[in-house]
Amino acid sequence: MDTASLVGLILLIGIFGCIALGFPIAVSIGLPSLVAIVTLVGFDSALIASPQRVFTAVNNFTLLAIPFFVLAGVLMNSGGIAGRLVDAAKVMVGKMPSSLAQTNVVANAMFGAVSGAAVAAAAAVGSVMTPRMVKEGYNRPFSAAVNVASAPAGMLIPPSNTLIVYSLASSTSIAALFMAGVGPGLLWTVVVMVVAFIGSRRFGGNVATAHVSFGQGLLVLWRAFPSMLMIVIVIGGILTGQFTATESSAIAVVYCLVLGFAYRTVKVADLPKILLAAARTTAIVMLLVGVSGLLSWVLSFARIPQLVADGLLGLSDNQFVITLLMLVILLVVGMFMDPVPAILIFTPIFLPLWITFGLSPIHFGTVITFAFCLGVITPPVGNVLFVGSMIAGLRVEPVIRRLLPFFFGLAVALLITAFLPALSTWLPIQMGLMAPT
Amino acid sequence: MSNGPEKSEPAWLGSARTFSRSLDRVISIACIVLFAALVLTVVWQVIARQVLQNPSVWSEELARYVFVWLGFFGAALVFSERGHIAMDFLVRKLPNRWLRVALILAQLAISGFIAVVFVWGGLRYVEQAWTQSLSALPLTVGPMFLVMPISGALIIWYSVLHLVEALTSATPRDLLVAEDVPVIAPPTTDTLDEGPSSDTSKEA
Repeated sequence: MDTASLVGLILLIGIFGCIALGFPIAVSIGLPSLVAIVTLVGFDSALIASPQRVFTAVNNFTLLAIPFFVLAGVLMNSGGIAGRLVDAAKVMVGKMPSSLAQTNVVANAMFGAVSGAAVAAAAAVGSVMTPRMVKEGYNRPFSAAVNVASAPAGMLIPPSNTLIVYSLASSTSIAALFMAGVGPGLLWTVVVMVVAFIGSRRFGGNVATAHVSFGQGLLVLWRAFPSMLMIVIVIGGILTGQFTATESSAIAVVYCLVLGFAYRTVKVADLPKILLAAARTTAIVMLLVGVSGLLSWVLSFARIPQLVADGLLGLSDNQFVITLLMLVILLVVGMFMDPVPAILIFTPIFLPLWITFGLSPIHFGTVITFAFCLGVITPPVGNVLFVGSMIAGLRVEPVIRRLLPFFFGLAVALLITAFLPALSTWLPIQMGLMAPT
Repeated sequence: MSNGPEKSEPAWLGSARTFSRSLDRVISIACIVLFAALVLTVVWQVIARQVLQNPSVWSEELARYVFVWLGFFGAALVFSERGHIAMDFLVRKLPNRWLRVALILAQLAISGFIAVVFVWGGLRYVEQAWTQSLSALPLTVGPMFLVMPISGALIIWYSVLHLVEALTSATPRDLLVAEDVPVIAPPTTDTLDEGPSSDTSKEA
C-alpha cells in the first residue's frame, strides 16, 4: 500500500472511530492527524511542526471576527431583541393566512441574521412563538417544526460565522461569501414559508389576524429598526471597504452594547458573564480550527483530495452525477456532525474537485453551508432540532414527523443552490466582489 | 472495575476537585480580561484609522496574540466543563462497563494528544523561537507561544482528574455531558399584544 492510501486509511478510520467513541471532535481530528503526520515525516519533525500548524491556523486576524460576532449575538440575546423582531415580523407578514407560522419563520430569519447562530434563534424566537402558536390552536409538533425548520436560515444570511469558517478553510473573500449567502438564505426562508403555508391548512389554528393600525405598525417597525440597523452597519462597512470583517464585527459588539444599555436590558454587572459565555463558544470553535490546521496540512501533503477526486471520477465522469454524490455525502455527514468541524474537514477534500469543474469556490461555500444547515435539523445529531423540541416541551420524534415536508422542500432548495450558481454568485458579481466565472 | 462500594473515591479526589474549581475561576477571569482587551484593541484600530487618520501599526498583531491566548485558555476551561463538541449518542447506548471504557479512552486520547502537541512539541518550539522577533510589537515569538504548553498542562490536569473520575465513579453515566443546550437563556421583553409566556427556556 502506498503512503497516501495508508495515511488516508489512518485518517478515515481514526477520525470517525474516535468520533463514534464519543471523544471530543477536536481530539478526534487532532490525534489521527498527528499519527498520520508521524507516519509521513517521522516523530521528530512532527513534534516540532504540529504545534506550529495549530498555532498558525488560529493566529489569524480574520478568525477574530468569530468571537466578536458571537459576543454580539450573546449581547443581543440578553437584550430582549427577540421580542422586538417577532413583533416586526408580525407587522410584515401578519396579514397572510397562517400568519403566526409565517411570523415565526420571518422572525427566525431576522434573528438568525443579526445573531448568526441557528441554535440561539430557535431558542429565542421559539420560546416566544411556539407557546403563542399552540395557544391559537396550532398543532404543537407542527409549531415546533416550523420554528426548527426556519432557524438555520441565519447561518446563510450574513453576517454568518459558518461562512467565516468556510472562508478560512477555503481562503476566499468574506465579503463575497456574505453576499453569496443572501440568495440561498432567502430561498431557504421562502421554501419554509411555502411548506408552512401548506401545512397550516391541516395543522394550523385560528386565522387570528389581529388588526394593526398603520401608525402602530410603523411604531413596531421603528422599535425593531435599531437591531436591523446592525446588519446594515456591519455589511455596509465590509462592502464599502471601510472596515475589514473583523473590524466591523468589533463595531457590531460596540453597537449591541450601546443598544443593550439604551434599552436597559444589559447591565455593566452582567458583562463578565456575557464575555465568559462568548469566550466558551469562541474557544470551542478556535480549538477546532487549530487542529484542522493539522488535518488540512496532512491532507494536502499526502495528496488525499486528489485520491478522493480520482475515486469519485472513477465512478462516473459526469459532473452532474459527481455533484449529486458529493451532496449526498455532505448530507449524510451533516446528519452526524456539527457544521463547523464538518466544513473544516470536508472543504479541503471536496473543494479542489469542485474547482476542476470550473465552478467557483464562493459558490461551493453556500452549497456546503446549505447542506450542513440541513444537518442541524436532522437526527441523530441536530442541535436546532433538539433545542426547538425542548422549547416546545416535546420529544424529538413527533417533531421529526412534522419536519419531513420541510426536509423535502429544503432538499429541493439544496439542489437548486447547487445547480444554479447564479443564485449565489449573481449578487457578489454585481457588487464587483468576485470575477464572473 | 465497576464493583466496589458506592463511594470508592480516593480521599484526595475531593481536594483535587476543589483545586480545579479555583483553577476554573482563575482561567475565567483571565478569559474575561483578555476578551475585554481584545474588544478594546480592535475598536482602537478602527478609531485610529477612521477617526484619527493615523492607522495603528501594532493593534492587529496585538489583537491576534490576545485572541490566541484567549482561545487556548478558553479551550482549557471548556475541557474542565466537558463542553467541547462530542458525539455521545452511540456511547450512551453502551452498558455501564463499556461506557466506562469509552470514557477512559477519551481522557487518554485527550491527554496523549495534548501532551505531545501542546506541551512537548510546544515547549520545543518555544525554545526554538525564543529570540525570534515579532513584526510590530517589541516582543519575541517564543514567549507568545508559551500559551500552548501552559494551556496544555491545564488541559492535562483536568483530563487526568476526569480519568480518575471515570475509573472510580459508581455511575459513569453521570459523567456524560447533558444534551446540547443553548448557552443563552432567551429573555423576552415587551411585545405587541398578549404577553408571551416566556418561561419555557429550560436549561438542562
